[in-house]
Amino acid sequence: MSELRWDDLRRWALLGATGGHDAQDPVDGLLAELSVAFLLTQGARVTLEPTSLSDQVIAMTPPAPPQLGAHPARREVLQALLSHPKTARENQAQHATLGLCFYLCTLAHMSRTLPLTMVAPVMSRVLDPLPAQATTAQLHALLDQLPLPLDALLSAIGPRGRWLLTQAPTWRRAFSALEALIVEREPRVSRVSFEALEQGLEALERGALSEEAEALRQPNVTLSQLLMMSHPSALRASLKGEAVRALFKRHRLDYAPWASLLQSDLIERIDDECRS
Amino acid sequence: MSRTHITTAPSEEGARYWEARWEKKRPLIELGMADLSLWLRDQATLGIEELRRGGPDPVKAIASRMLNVECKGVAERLERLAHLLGGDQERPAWMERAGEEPPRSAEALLDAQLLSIGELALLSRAFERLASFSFEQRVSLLSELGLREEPKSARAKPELEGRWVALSQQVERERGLLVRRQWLARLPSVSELQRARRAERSSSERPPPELTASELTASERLDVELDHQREALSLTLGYAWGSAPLPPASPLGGVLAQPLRAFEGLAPRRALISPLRDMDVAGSAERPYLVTHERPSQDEWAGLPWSPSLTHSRAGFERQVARSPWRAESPALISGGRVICHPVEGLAYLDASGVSASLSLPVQTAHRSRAERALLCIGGQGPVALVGEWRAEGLLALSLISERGRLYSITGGRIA
Repeated sequence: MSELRWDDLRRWALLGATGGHDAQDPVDGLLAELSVAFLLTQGARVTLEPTSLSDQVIAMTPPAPPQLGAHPARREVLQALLSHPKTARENQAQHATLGLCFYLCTLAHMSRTLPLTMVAPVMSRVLDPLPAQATTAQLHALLDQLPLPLDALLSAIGPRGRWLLTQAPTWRRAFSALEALIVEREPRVSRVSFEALEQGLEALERGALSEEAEALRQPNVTLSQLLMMSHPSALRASLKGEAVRALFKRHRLDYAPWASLLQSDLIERIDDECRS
Repeated sequence: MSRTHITTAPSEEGARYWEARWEKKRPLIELGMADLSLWLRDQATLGIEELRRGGPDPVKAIASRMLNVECKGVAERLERLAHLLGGDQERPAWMERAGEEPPRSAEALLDAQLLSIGELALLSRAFERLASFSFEQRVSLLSELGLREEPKSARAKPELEGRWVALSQQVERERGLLVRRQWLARLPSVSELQRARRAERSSSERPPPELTASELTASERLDVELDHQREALSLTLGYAWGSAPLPPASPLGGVLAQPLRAFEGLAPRRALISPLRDMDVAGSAERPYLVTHERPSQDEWAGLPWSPSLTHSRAGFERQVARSPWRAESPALISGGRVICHPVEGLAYLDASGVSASLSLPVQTAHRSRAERALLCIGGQGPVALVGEWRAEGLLALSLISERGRLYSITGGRIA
């Protein structure tokens, strides 16, 4: 039986499973905790005996204790962040943040160390129109509020990624900013895109290719549609940069911050992953 | 030790019926439950705060989806969640039926929303594990999803053995539907009474049906008693739409002339009284119950599966919820106590061991004080047996049975 207190569970549930804790599967952990809470309010005496339905359910998903962040403070910062007028420089910083995280998460998922539930919101965030931007000070204030599983991420992306992050501490901050944005601003991940993304990533891992990559060059393809394509070649092509550039242009987004990322050896690393 | 006594084995016809019914609906329900699982994961991923911001409409949308895939039970739960998200202060029918008050504070509202998600998550996870469940658990879960046994299937079954007596009647209105809930108990046979007397003479407790008490752990003993209680009790439901009258009721405290037939696999057991067609009001009005004037003897009343204490009865309820957490009602039969006016708990039942529990009554607020006074008059003097239901929030009193075998039912604000 979990030792989680109801207050903690309530905060965790409000925040969502992307809110910063290192459970094996935070989504299942959260749902299991809520199930236990429901059982207890129904009057069940939850014991560890194999005959009861509740125990069987709980036995499947031992809940992990959450590590909660300072959620309300983050919301305040975000409010300030959203109300601030944009500048070109801040736009660039924001795009770089998102772009970096897109690749890191993809990489981590491909190496099977980050669950899809962590990756999908990042994908969705990047592929939707970007939110209003922050000043540097506000961004830093935001970052200071965040308890992030950076260690987990570092181990997920391997030695090369770790080296990159240690060389560029601002990237680490950028990733933190993105995590906050996911928690606060992420539009709900639709079932369709979720499934398509999963299929896409799985096929990508198998190295499958298709002429559907051509679809990316069609003028009417939106970024969301890209994600919904079931074939992995779309995603693979997007990693190459060409399609991403076109799509960003269509969304009137500033592509420049992405360019350096797309040229970086991170891309090679991803391509290597795909090939292997 | 064999654990086969833990759940009641299904009849061959019952197992076949459920197999066929499940196979027919399986593709649709699996599709729907997969959708529910993904939807729940989305909510957990993004946080319930997102759901709260979105208001009731997105939840109503997924509820509609559940109706389309014949998961009516899930749809009803989602409707409840949508109601909670909408912040509607009007008490909906499902709350009235469960005797609940709408959550007033923001915190209570949030808790209710979270628990609602928890219930859906439990349903979803249980469904993923359906294949590993016992027959009883499978039937219980599928019934909660919305796949229920049809009355015509129950009518085709053999009659339940024994003589049955109506212990309580409760009439509730749920939207346009009038529902009468009636607990029936099987009276002990002559041989059972003789066995009980012999056991009493040898100053030992009544043994469980299959195994002696000394061979069982405490929880196994509770399971045996639950099974025994389930065999001895049945819940029947009667319906009427709009202003139509309910079908005639069986006489309270009188022995039923008609046979009972049970739905398969549900705990507590659901049954219908033949030949009355519970679901068909128009037909039932022309075929009233046969009224008998036979009343149970004091020995027969004493032979019902009474719990000796509130603690014991409550433990059985907790066990029942752990076995199948979906059913709101669980019968409570406790003997040897009396009704008191507790300084803190208000109207309460004090059992023979000195433990008390607050009683809620199935009456409107306007009639409550009158009903309380009547109950104190009936049950305040000496030992009286209580028939009620355990609910998540406490003990609901339905009837009292005096030592002389007279039954007083709390129905619609009157003590009959």
